Amino acid sequence: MIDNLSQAFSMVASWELLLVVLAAGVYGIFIGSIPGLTATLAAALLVPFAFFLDPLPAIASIITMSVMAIFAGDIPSALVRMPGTPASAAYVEDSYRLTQNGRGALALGVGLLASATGGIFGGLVLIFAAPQLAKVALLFTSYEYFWVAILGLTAAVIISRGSQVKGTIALLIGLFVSTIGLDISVGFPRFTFGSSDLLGGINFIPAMIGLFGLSQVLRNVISPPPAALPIRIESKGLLRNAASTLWNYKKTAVGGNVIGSAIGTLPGAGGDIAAWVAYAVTKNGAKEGKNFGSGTGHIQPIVGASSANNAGVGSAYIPTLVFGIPGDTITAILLGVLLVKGVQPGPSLFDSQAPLLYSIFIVFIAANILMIPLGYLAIRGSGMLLRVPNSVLMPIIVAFCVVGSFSINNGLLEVGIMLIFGILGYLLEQAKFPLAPVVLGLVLGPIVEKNFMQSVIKTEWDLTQFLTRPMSAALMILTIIVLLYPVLQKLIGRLLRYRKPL
Amino acid sequence: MTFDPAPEVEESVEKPENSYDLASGVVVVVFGSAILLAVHDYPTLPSGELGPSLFPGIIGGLMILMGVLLLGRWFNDRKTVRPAKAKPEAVHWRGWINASLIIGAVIFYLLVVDFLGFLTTVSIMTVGLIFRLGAKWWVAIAAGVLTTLVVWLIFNKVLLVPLPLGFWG
Repeated sequence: MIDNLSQAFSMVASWELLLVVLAAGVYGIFIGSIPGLTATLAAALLVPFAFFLDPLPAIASIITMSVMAIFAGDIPSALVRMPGTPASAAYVEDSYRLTQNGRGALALGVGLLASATGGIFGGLVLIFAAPQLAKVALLFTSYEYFWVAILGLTAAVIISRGSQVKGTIALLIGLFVSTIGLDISVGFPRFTFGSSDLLGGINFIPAMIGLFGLSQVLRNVISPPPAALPIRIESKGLLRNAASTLWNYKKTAVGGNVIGSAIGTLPGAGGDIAAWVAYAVTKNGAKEGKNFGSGTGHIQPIVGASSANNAGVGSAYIPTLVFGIPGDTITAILLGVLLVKGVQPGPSLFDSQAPLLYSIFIVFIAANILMIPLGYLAIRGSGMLLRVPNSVLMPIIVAFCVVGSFSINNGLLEVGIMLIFGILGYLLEQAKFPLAPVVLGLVLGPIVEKNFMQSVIKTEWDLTQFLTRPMSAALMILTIIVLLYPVLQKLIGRLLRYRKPL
Repeated sequence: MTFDPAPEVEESVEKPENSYDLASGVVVVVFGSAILLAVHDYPTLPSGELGPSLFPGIIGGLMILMGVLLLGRWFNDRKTVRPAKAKPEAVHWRGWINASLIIGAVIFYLLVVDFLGFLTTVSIMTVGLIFRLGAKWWVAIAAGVLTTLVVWLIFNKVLLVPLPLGFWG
C-alpha cells in the first residue's frame, strides 16, 4: 500500500497534471455556474480533450470538472434563482431568499465549504469502501456481472425522478442503440442497414455530445432562459462566517454526507437525487422544516443538500471503478473514456493498476481542496460569470460539439450521430423523458448482453445458474429491493409519520 | 418522512406532459414492433437457440409493453387532466427558426467542410449563428473568428487532429 501510494504521488506530481486539473477546474466552475448548462454537458464536451490525454490526466480532468461544476451550480441559484445544474435544484428557493435578504454571501460560502467537505467525505468513502468491495468483486463471474448490470439498469429507472414508464422507455432506447453493429455471439450485423460504417456500433462519445450538448443548445434557443440581472453580493469575511455557520450545523452536514455517499454508491443514481433526498431528510428532521423554501430563506437545507450532492459525486466512482458499472451520467461518460484508453475498470484494476487507482484517489481529495480557492474567486466574480451572453455562448458550444465529435474518429459519421442524438435529446426532454437512463442503457447494454450470452453458452442454457449461485441470488434480491423501492418508500414514510406526528 | 420532497412545480400547476403521451406512446409501440419485425429472421446460434435476435427482441417487446402502458395512462388521464391552457406565450417562431438554423449549421458543416476546409466553414457557422442570435455584427465577427481560431489551435495544433483543409490544402 505504502509502495503504491508513493508511486501514486509521483504520478500525480507532474506539471502536465497540475495544468490539466487547474484548467478543468476553471472550466467546471464556468459551465456549472451558467444556468441550463449541466455538469453532464461539461463532461460530454470535455471528452474529446480527455480522449487525447493519458489515462490519469484524462480521469483527473473529468473528476475535477465535475466536482467544481456541482458546486458552481449553487451560484446562479443564489443570484438569479436558477439552478446552474440539476444537483442544485433542491434548495434554489432557500438560496435565493437568503440573497434577497442580504445573506447571499453566506449561502454561497456555506455551499462552498459544505461542497468541499462533502466531496472529501465522498472521496474517503470511495478510498475505504472501493478496495473492500473489489475483493468481493474478484469472485464475480459472468452471472454476477449480469446481475450487477441489471441492478444498474433497474436503479437508473426506479430512482430517476418522474414517470417510471418514461424512464424505462428512455433506458430501452439506450439499450437498443447499444445493439447496433456486429452482434457478440455470432458476429451478425444488426440494424446497420448494410452500411459498413455502422458495423462497429454507434460511437458512445458523439452520442453523448449530442444528447447533452447540442440538445441543450436547441432547448436554450427555442425557449431562452429569462434574462435576470444578478444581485450583487458582499463577499467580505465570507469564508470565516461560512465556516462558523457550517460548524453550527455539523450534524446536518454529516447527515448530508452520509446520505449523499450512500445514494451515489448506487449504480445509476448521482448527485441530483442525493441532493433531493438530503433536502427531504433535513426538512423532516428540522424544527423549522416546514418553512424551508419560504420566508427569508434557511441555511440548514443548503448545508444538508449541498453536502450530499458533492458526497454523491465521490461515491459514484465506487460502482464505476469496482464493477465497471457507472454510478451516474458523468461516470458513465468517464467509463466510455476509460474503455477507449484501454483501462478496463473492475476488480482487477485494484490489483494490476493500483498506483493509477491511488492517484485517482489523491486527485479526488486534491480537487475538493482546490475547490475552496477557485470557488471563492468564482463567488467574487460571479456577477461577471453570469453576464456572458447566450448569443455568443451557444454558437461556441455548437462549434465544440461539431469539432469534438469529428475528432473522435476524424470522420463525418460521428458529426451526423451527434446531430441525430442532439435532436433526439431535445425531443425526449420536451416529452418529459429523462435522459440519464439513455446513457446508462447505452453503456450497460453490451455488458448485460455479453455476460448473459457468455453464461448461457457456457452452460448450454441452464438458466438456474442465475438464481442458485449464492452471490447471484444476493444481487438478484438487491435488484428486487430496488424494484420495490417506490412501494417501500411509501411504507416507510407512512410508518415514520405514524410514529412522529408533526 | 417521505423521500420524494419534490412535487415538481410545473407538474402540479398544469400537466403539459400528458399532451405528449399519446404521440410518444404511438411512436414507441411502432418502433418496438419495427425492431421485432427486423430481428425475426436473424440467424440463431449453431446450437439452435436464439442468438443475435434475443436481446433486441426483448428490447422491442418491452418497448411495445411500455408504449401501451403510456397510452393507457394517457387514456386514463385524458379527462381528469386539464388540457394545457392555451399558452399566453405566443408561438416562438423566432426560437424555432433559430433551432433550425443550428441544425442547418451542423448539416452545412457536414456538406461543405471537405471542400471549404475547417477554418472557413466553422467561421461562417459561428459568425452567422452569433449574429442571428442577437449579437452586434462586429461582436459576431470577432467572437466567431476568435472561436474558430482557438478551436483550430487546440484541436489541430495541440491535440493533432487532422481537421480538413479543403481547397486551401
